[in-house]
Amino acid sequence: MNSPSASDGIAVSVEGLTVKYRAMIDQGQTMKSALRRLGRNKQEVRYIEALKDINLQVKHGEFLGVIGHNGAGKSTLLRTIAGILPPTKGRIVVNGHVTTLLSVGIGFNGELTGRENIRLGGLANGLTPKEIELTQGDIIEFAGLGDFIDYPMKTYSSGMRGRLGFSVAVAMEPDILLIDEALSAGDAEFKEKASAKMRDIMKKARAIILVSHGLGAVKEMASDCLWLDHGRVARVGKPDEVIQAYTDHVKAGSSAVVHDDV
Amino acid sequence: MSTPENTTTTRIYDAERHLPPIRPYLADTFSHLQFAYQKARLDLRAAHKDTWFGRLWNVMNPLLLGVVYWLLVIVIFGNRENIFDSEGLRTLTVILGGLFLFSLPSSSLALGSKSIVSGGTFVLNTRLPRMLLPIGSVISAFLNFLPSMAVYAVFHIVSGYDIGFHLLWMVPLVAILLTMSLGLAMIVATLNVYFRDVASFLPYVTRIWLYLTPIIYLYTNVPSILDWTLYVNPLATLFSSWQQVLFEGGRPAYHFVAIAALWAVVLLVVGALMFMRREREFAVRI
Repeated sequence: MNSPSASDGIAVSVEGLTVKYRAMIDQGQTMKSALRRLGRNKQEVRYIEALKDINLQVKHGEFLGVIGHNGAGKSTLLRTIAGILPPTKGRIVVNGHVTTLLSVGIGFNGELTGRENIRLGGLANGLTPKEIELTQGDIIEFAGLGDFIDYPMKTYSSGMRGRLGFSVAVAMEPDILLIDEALSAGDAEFKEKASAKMRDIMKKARAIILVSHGLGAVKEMASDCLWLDHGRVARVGKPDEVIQAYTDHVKAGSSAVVHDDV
Repeated sequence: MSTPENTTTTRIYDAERHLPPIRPYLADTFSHLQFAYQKARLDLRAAHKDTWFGRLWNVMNPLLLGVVYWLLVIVIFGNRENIFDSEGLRTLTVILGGLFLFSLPSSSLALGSKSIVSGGTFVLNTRLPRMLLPIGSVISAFLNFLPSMAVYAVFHIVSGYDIGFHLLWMVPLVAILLTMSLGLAMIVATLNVYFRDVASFLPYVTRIWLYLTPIIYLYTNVPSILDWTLYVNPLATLFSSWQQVLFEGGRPAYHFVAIAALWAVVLLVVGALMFMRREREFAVRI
């Protein structure tokens, strides 16, 4: 079992993180536009600062909920911690085995069945074929897809994809679990099961970072909450306080508009 | 000192670095080769699920192409009388032997160029070394190549070309070609992220490269004033060696093999450095 680490139990440490995207204003990445840029000696790119000077620490056993408006940089933060996007400035130190559950979930190839995608997901996360054989049954049972597990994934609904993705991610026994909007995918019954599973992971002194528009899930499960606003940290603290401040800010109060998707 | 007791990995993502630390990167790549292999295998199976001949197409494509080139060669060289005698058959065998081998670099280029751009979920949602995608392309090309060798064996025997231990030279030659193909796949994969036109140009480049390499003709037919082309075309010495082994019944010229191996190392190193330098940007560019 993974006990909290020696280095003050820090799972993820983010120091002065800035992430900039290059966005082409012109039609895109073709030879023509490249030549034209060369000719004019002018870069037709605009930089979008998705994250600005973020400092953050997540300890083992913590459940950090990340909230904020669309485009606040929540998913960018998660992808940078996962090592998918490179930081433009600053550094990130991650202690432990990370499993990501990002919005698309697994699904390397839509033509492949759920079972085959579990296999690839397991191999991608460093399991041996034998270990996959052992965990496969649990994953399939937890996802509860019935016969669909042997159908191509392109036939799945988004909820089913989300369920399978979640089941694979938690089965990898991660030290740090990164989740992006996954809970909004499943139905009520699955949400219940998923919440229980996440509490379980927290008890084992692992860290979870959840990005969600649904304030309900964050309020209910998170131990800490981070509010991102236009790529900056607007507030960090206990979920109740931060959510209160956020809802006041969007002037929606605690109305159904904000709460609806979880 | 800051290494936690029970966790296995500490990863640091730093803004200052262009190249990832090479040794851990390669270790990470090697430890996930099984993933690349399984992905290639499953993708191949999925790709042919809906066609009537299924995976047979992997052999039928180069076979049919071989017949087309054979007819072409016969029309050009004009010996229409003996198409169906043993000389015609031997010509067909030469063409097939070369074309089957050429499927390695050509499919590696075709699949490799699209590997990152169409690698959506993999590139956006995992932190695995992206090098696994072009590696997967080369594995796919190799898995298609293997059954074609069984077909070739039939032609080789029926045409009466020599059989013996010299044929074991095929193994190192294929290994050298796979190394080259991986280098090439990484180069076109990177280029195609920045210039999407690359994948569209590629079929024509590949076709011209086929004509410039001793495949549908023997390397001995290359006019002596064009001998130098054998050394500047990375594929030429390798395919000449292949012809020496298959059709001359002996070992390849050592200097041919050495030059081919040199090209392979150069392409692999250039491809890998180019790819690794750029791969962290891929997620923002696709």
